[in-house]
Amino acid sequence: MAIESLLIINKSGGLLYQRNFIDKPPQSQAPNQPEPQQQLNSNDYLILASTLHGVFAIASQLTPKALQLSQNDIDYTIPYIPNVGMPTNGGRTGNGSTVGGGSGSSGPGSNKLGSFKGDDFFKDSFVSWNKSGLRQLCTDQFTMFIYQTMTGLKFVAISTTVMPQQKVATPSGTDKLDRYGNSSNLAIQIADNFLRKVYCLYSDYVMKDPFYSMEMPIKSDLFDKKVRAMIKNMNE
Amino acid sequence: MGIYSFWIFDKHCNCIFDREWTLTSSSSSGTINSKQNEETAKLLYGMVYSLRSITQKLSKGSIKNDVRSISTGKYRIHTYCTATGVWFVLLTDFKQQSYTQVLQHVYSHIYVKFISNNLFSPYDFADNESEMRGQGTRKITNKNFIDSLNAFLSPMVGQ
Amino acid sequence: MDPGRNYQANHPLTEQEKKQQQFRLFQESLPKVSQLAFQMLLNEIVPQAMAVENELNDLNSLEQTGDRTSAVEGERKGEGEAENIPINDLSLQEKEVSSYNTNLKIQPSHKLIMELAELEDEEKYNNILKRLRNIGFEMGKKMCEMLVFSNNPNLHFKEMDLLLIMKFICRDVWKQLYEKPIDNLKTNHRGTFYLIDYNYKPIQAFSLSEEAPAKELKMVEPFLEIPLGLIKGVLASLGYSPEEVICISSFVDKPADDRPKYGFPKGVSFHVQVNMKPK
Repeated sequence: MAIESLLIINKSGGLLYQRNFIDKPPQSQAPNQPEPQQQLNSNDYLILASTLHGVFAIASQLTPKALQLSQNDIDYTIPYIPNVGMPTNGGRTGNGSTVGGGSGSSGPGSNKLGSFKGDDFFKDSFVSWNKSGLRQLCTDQFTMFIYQTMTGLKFVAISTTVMPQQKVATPSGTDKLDRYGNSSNLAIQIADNFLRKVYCLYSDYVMKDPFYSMEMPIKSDLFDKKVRAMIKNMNE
Repeated sequence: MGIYSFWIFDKHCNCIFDREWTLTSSSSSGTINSKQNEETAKLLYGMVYSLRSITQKLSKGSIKNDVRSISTGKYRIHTYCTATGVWFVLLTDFKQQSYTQVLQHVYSHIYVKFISNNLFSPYDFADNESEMRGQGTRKITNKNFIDSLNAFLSPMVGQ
Repeated sequence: MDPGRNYQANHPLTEQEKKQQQFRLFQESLPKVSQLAFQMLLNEIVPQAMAVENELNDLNSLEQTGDRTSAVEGERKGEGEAENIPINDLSLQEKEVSSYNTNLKIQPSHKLIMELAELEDEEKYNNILKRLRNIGFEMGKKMCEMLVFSNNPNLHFKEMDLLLIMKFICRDVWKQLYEKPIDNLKTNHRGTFYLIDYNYKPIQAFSLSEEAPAKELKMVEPFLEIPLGLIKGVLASLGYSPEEVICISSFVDKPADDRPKYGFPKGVSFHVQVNMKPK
């Protein structure tokens, strides 16, 4: 799954962070894909962020009556998928199949800088806080994933992978299908794992930045570097 | 439960048809063109509209980029927009990910046949200027349309 | 139709087979029209007949009031007040519009049909039906000419009696127009015929709403004037003058067994009464 763009939106709909990662054409992209014509300016992204924020709130109001009546329990647990967006060399936890794939360029131990978290940040399945809001948007050209934290922070990833497709373009995509349902849901799970790691990076490098003031755009170089490295691993 | 509700919006932002199934066990349950759904329809339209505008902003090249589906933690929304400005929107569960074929069938075999080709039914559901821009209240009440749509979609309710 | 083609290589063609082949080639050479487009146009005749009648009425009332332009303006003013549009603007628009056509009101078809079904003015209603029947009549006459001219080897016009003519209508004329023959032909052999079409094609997609089945039938009625006129037209061109023929339509129930699930709920029966022998 190639990540094209990453956005962080705060709890009131303001844009905290936005980066494009399209300078390097990802693997899954078709070779004859047209180049992006016009780049969106920062104002466009602000509008985009607040629109997403608004739609997010509407989505919870649209829950079908059948679901409201039946009250059936939906399992919001997201399984832990190992090594999403992590370099896999260096003999790390290798019992699970690799999803992020490929060998990273960042040296061993670089992940640990300033962080008390483990190699893969977390090892347990987790419960999604995003229960009724927007989680995924599939279009003809890209797929957008949204991960919401308990505090209302939203991490948005735009992937060039077009859903729905037969299977996710991962080395182990086929045998994962049985474990996690269909490929689209698997993609959501991978994206949630990835965005949760970005959240970890955020808490590590943005929250611990003494010069950062809350709810303001993120300008941390360290955070930027870490995110880029992780996305590079994802895209490889 | 496979599908929860089905909506049609015309080019004037009006909801011209809605069908909601309220019981998972019975495919004949629920409402058709319910008054209570008017607000929901507006919210749904607004949501799809906003996401469509985002999608089109983010599209690459000259190819038109359209929303296929929108997922939340509970349900999934599938959309099919025609060039004439009619939207077909289907709310479903997570099991099946592509309902494009289904919506295409509704458009080509049911909508075109019993609405566009039906001389008794208006082609444009907004009658005058004041009924455009989401203010319209006219709905599809056509028996043939409702019957054949029910026959086509009902088997998917309990899936 | 195809034996000519099958045995072509082995046997020399008989006279009948040659004719068949010629006819087939002729039919293939005819320009083709989309059945869908044709049906649409055929159906649009009905609302347009209503529009023409409205237009004529308006013109008549204008002539009665004398000065035409002032009447037009007066009418426009009335409309303008209703819509809350400044009259000054309208008069400007009026001038521009009137350079193209004079006071033409365009209404969507479904409204015209609704208006027609709700018409209380008996005379006006009958005028419209008459106009529709006349269109069918003209079509029937020319259609018949066309089918005779085409040299169809299956038709023998020389020894045609009334029953054969009716069969010709049921099979050939109907097929030409609606892509299917009539489902059932009943006769008492004394000049009374019932032509029953359980799935009369042009009205199959018509449907109003669940609550108003009676109104739906009332709205369909004008559409049946065209085939009625058509039958009369064919009969007229084959020697039965329209004064001798009475033609009425009615709705019949569909047979229970082959009832299609969706479509018009009723079949159509055309009752044809021919009073005299041909001259």
